[in-house]
Parts: sequence; structure tokens; C-alpha cells
Amino acid sequence: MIVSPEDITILLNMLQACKIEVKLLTGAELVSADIENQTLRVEAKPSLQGEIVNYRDIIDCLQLSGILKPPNHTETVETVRQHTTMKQSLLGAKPVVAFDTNQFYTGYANHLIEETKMEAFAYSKASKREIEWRMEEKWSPKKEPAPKPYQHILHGRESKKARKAKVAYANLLKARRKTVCLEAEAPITSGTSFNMDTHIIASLKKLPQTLDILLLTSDSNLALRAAGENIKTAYIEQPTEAPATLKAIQKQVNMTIYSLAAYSSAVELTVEGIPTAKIYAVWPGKTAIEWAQEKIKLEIANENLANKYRKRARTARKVKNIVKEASSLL
Amino acid sequence: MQALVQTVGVHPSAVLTSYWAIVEEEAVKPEVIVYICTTQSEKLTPILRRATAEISQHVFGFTPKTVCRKVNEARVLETVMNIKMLILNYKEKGYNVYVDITPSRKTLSASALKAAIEAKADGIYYLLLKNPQYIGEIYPYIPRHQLKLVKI
Repeated sequence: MIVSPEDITILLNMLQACKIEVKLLTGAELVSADIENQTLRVEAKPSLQGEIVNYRDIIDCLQLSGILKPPNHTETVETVRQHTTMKQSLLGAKPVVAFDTNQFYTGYANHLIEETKMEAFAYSKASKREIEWRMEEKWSPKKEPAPKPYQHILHGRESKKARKAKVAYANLLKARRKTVCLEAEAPITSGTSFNMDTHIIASLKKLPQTLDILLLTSDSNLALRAAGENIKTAYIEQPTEAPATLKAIQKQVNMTIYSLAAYSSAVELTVEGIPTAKIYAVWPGKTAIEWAQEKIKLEIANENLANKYRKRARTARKVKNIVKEASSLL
Repeated sequence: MQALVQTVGVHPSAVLTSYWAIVEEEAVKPEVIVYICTTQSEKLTPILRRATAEISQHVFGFTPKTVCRKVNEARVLETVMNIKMLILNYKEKGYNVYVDITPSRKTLSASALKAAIEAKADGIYYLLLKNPQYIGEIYPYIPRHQLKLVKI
């Protein structure tokens, strides 16, 4: 059954789940969550390497779901708020926050847009192109050795780089739907070798002079070079490890499961240790729209439970759509 | 035979969420659902009918009849009397009558509560949403531990 991450809640409610675990299909445990107490633990060790996902990927997934924030998140929010409010009244220039490519990979752009109620943001078209280019890469067993349960899933499908890029692209599209967006573009100068930082800086400099740009980047080189070009910058630190226990609401747990599935291609969900469902983010014929809508394929182990779930999820979706119609009546 | 009296406020999701919770957690399968509406919330009844039919038929396998009773919630005592008479009427016909006071505004919920107590309704329900971030969500999308169906 093709579902959205939010539909995982329906399954967990049906099972009255208190504790869940997310594992790789090889059995390696990645994270566990205490649904009732709204906490999440990273079960994989920092030494996890060479598996289909490594510890660094798990950290990225926690950032994607908003559970883990950059160490300087509070300062960043403050910088953005100051930039978008005070500057406007003092100088009359329209303040705009620009994001580098990485902020769409980690979903931080989306979280920040929401938290600061950002009115507009900008990004370089070069960032978008870079993501689009990476989305094309196919999985190769030589470049990306995968454990046995993953080989048939990945055969002929997206590589890990491509899957991550598709997650980033979906984030970019979501951000564009949330608020006003400016896509900055600069022509590539012939005769010079292509450099992403150069291109991002050049495109931001092409934006109208009436805009007051603040570039948020996790790339120290880009931050330095942009500052050298008189573009205001704020450096976003990247978390390198997760605390033993993190606060996580259900929505964030669902997004973590989705992200882990997308990064690894498939994960197993166990409830109180009992294998309950396999969650695939990759399957033959998955469409671009399904990637953009963050769809997953849910395979529930127990057929009886699967049938009940199907009815319930279908009805919940229909009811949700009916309720949406009501907003026009009120 | 069972009848469910539900007060209706401005959020259809609140009516549907508490309906779904009552049917699921209390195994109440009403033959009749009576919506207690105001002039404003009356507009929601076609939507509520459709959504309730979806939930009842496709998840629980029964089809309730729905009725709408309009009240003036500003006239509290009159509203209490109207709802009380309605409950007693159904009881006379042999129905077990359950009253859900969750979805409406304070005056209407308070009126329904008083009426239900005075008419000795068979069950009075209030669905407690522990976290306001789930306001507007439908029952299956709200984590179970964030809800508590209170039987008064």
C-alpha cells in the first residue's frame, strides 16, 4: 500500500504501540522510539560504517525530521529574525534569506522558514541544478555494495546519492509552496571551470540591489568567499552526534522513519520487538510526484492487520478530504 | 437500539474525531445520530453526514441515520430543555441514548451536559485532546496517547 509518513500513526494507533524500533532489513537497529513518552534514541553506534546507512546518515535523518537541530540553531533563528525585521525598518531594503544547497538536504531551510515565519527566501538555480543532476544517478553494486536483502530492491533503481537528492528536491518544492521564493541565476562564464561556490555567489549577486541578502550556509569556504564578496552570511554548524535520548513527537518519528527508508531504500518497523511492517522508499515505477509527496510503500506482515489498516487508512484520507471541503463553508 | 446526540461547533474534525473514538473505544453503534446545531454550524451537516457514513460503513460496517436539530445556544435554558426533551423522546422509544459534548462551544456543551444529566442519558462523553497541536486532525491521525475519551 502506498501511503504518506503521517499514515504510520494510523498503524501505530491500531497496535496501541508504545515502543517501536526501526531496523535495516539486515536486522541492524537504527533508532527506537517511546511513543508514549515522546522520546527517540539512536541505537546505531557512531562506528556504524559500510552498512547501507551509516551513523552520519542517521544524524541527517534526525535533522530532516526536525528532531536534531544545528548546535547554533538558537543564534541562527535570532540572526534571521534580526535580519528580516530590524533591517527592513532601518534601511528600507527588502530583507531576504538565501540558502545553500545543503539546507535543502538537511531540511533546515524548511524548518527555519516555518519557525521564523519567513516571508521570502532565495536560492541559487545552481543549487537546484546540482540536486537535479544528482537525482539521475543509478545504483551500482560496485560503487555502492549493498547487503543481500537490498540488492534486488536497488537493482536498476536510484543510488544513495540520488535518493538523498530526491529528498532534498522534495524539500525545495515544499519550501517553495510555503512562502515567496526567488530563484537566483547567473550565466556560467565560458572558459572557466565550473565551481558551485562561485556560481552560488555570482547568482546571488545578480539579485536586485533593493534586496538585502543573508546567506545561510554550512560550507565554511562558501561562507568565507561570500563574505569576501560583501554578501552577509551566517554559518550553520552541523551536528556530528546525537544525544542519548531526544524529544520527538509522533510527526517527527514518522518523518524519521520516512527519511531512514529513503536513505537506505527500505527499513523494517518492529513494535515492541515484533516485526510489523517493511517500509520501502524505492520500488519499481515510483513516480516523481510520489517522491515529491514523500510516499512510501508499506508492507504489513500480518494479512488480517493489513486489511484492517487498508480500510482505515483509506477512510481516514477520504474523511480528511471531506473536512477540507468544509473550510470553504466556515 | 442506540442513539447518539452530538453537539456541533465550528470544527467538523472535532465532531468526526469524537464520533470515531466513541464508536471504536466504546463500541457504540448508533442507529441514529442527532446533530445539535446552531445557525452557523448547521452548514456543516451535509459534510458531517458524508464523513460519518464513510467511517460507519467502511470501518465499522453499519449505516446510521442522521438528524439535525437547530438550537439557539445563547438561550441556554431553552437549549437545555430542547435537548432534554429530545433525549427523553428517544428513551421512550426504547433507545439507549449517548451524548457527546466534545465538539461545540462552551454554552452548547454545558447545555447538553445539563440536559444529559437531567434526562439520565446512558452515557455522556467528552474527548480530551491532550495536545492542542492536533486540533483539526482526524482521529486515526492523532497518536492514541494524546487522546482520552472521558465518560462522565
